[in-house]
Amino acid sequence: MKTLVLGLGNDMLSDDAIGLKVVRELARVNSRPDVEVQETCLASLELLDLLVGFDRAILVDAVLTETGSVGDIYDLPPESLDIGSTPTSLHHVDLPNVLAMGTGLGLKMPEDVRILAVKADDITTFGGPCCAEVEAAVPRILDLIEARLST
Amino acid sequence: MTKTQTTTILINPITRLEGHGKIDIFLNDAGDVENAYFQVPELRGFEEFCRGRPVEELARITTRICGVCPGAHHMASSKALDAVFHVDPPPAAKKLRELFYCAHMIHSHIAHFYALAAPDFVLGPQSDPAMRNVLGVIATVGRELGESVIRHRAYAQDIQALIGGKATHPVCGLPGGMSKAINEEERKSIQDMAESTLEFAKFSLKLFHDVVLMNKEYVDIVLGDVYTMQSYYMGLVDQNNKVNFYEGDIRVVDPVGLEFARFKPAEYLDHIQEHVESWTYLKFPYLKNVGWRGLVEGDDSGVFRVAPLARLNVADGMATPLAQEAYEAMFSTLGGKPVHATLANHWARLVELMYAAERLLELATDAEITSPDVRAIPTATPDEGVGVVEAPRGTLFHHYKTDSDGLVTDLNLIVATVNNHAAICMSIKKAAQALIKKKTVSEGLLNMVEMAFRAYDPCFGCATHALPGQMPLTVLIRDKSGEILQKVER
Repeated sequence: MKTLVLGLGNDMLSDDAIGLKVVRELARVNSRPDVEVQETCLASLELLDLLVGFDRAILVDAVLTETGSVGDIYDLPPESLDIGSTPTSLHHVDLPNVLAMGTGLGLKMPEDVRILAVKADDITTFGGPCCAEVEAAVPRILDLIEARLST
Repeated sequence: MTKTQTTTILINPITRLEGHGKIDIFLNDAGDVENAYFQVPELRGFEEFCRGRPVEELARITTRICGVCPGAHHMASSKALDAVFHVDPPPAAKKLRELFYCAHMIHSHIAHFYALAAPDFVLGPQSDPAMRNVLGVIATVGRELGESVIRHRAYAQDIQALIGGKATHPVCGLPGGMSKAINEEERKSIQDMAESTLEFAKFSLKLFHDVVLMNKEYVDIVLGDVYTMQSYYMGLVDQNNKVNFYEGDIRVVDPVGLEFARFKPAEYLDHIQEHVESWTYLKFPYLKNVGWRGLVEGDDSGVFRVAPLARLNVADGMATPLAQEAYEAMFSTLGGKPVHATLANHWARLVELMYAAERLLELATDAEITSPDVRAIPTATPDEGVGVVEAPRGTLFHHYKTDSDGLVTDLNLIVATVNNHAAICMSIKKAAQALIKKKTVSEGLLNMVEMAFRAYDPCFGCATHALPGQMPLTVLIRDKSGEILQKVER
């Protein structure tokens, strides 16, 4: 089974770097030949090309939530991002739409997709560091990825 | 749309970014729409982040502003760097950049038309929202269309990767030219892809003709008052006043289509000023020599529009034959120039797809395109420069200042969506006016607002990237004092 672990984020934007930090660490230690580790600061429909051809995908990203504490980790299915409407802009095509478009176009999309998301504090300040609470989530996310890859 | 929805949390635990895609509609005493504004999240510190860095790094840093249109920033930045270092790239370098940029435009226009615009038209704005997506389009037109969309989008990516080093975050542009040339084998593969893309552009225009133009209901929507707005238009033109995505003069036409201004990118501050409102960090560029009169239409209001329709409105035509045919067909069908129908942006996008494909093929078969002479080494002391390109969504300005060591002291970027900011607010207001009367909100408000949005393909979230999310549109309807009367959202 081919698995993609994809870190999403922008390493110039404070806590938004968390997805990249996690996969960089994973790439350093990953020895599984069937697991590909990638990072990207792309978004929206642009993610389609990255996901094609894999059986399974694990996405790591920052998230803003109304509840919970900074550094909390959410393990989410793509459906949780579905707000059930036609995208308003190429910049805002959500993951369920990306997966549905890929499948509908006859592309091989991963059937098993999970999102590991870390509650962020600030994702809009250029040049800022990841805050300590978010940074501290790195080893815990790596454990979650490891557990998932072992199943 | 009852009041009970006001407490609904869209997605739990994930919710929207603060202020993300939030629209405020203010009513007057009679309960009719007075004004409409949209809010976007503020990105902080980009100038500080760039200040003090070697200016040549900006071609790579600014591509990271946006997770969707890095190619446009890379090109605008490369051109600004030429200006900062007072260096003129060799002809082959300019052609390679333009070739890369045609591929970028093709990639974006195909995705926008088929994934976002076509569902509203091929299936109809009143169709079941669950089917009103690219899959519904494929189900209607046929499976081979889907395959073709994917293939040509991929070609455009391959060409960008071949020239740019990477498809998505190109690293090819340097002050004075390009980092590498292409060889004959690469040229031939680009030519093959360009030929195929040209056929696909023909197909796309035919699809638009058969599905949209043959349907009076759709044409009526496109030309209807709700989506019509009298404004100035801005775009790049070549020396013959034809549309050019990569370089030329900036031309502005007035609401009756007469040339109002024509200027060099470096002179933009003589023509464009930015209005500031207290309720949003996002500025409102307007024509300095007309003046700011607020969010109003007409020839005494400095509001201007950019993007595909604006480019076609400012130009006297297209520089390639099939695109010229398509251009003429569009203006004759829609009643002559300029066209003020916002939804005609979708048609204009396909005219541009044709131009980009034809121009791509021209460049791919240009005898000079494989020349190894793609770089002029800068020798002058760097100081200041402006680079302008037409991004898929409209005119994009990069302006840098440096010290004599080439370290950034100041920069100013005006992105396409900001140029369209006032116009987008006004288009929202028009849709809202049609659907809100005496405090009563009709069904379909979000649909109508979304259709206005989509025509501009705005980039509200540039760089705010957390989660591959979609912008949940939230509309707050307020009375004159600002109190929220109703909240409409998905």
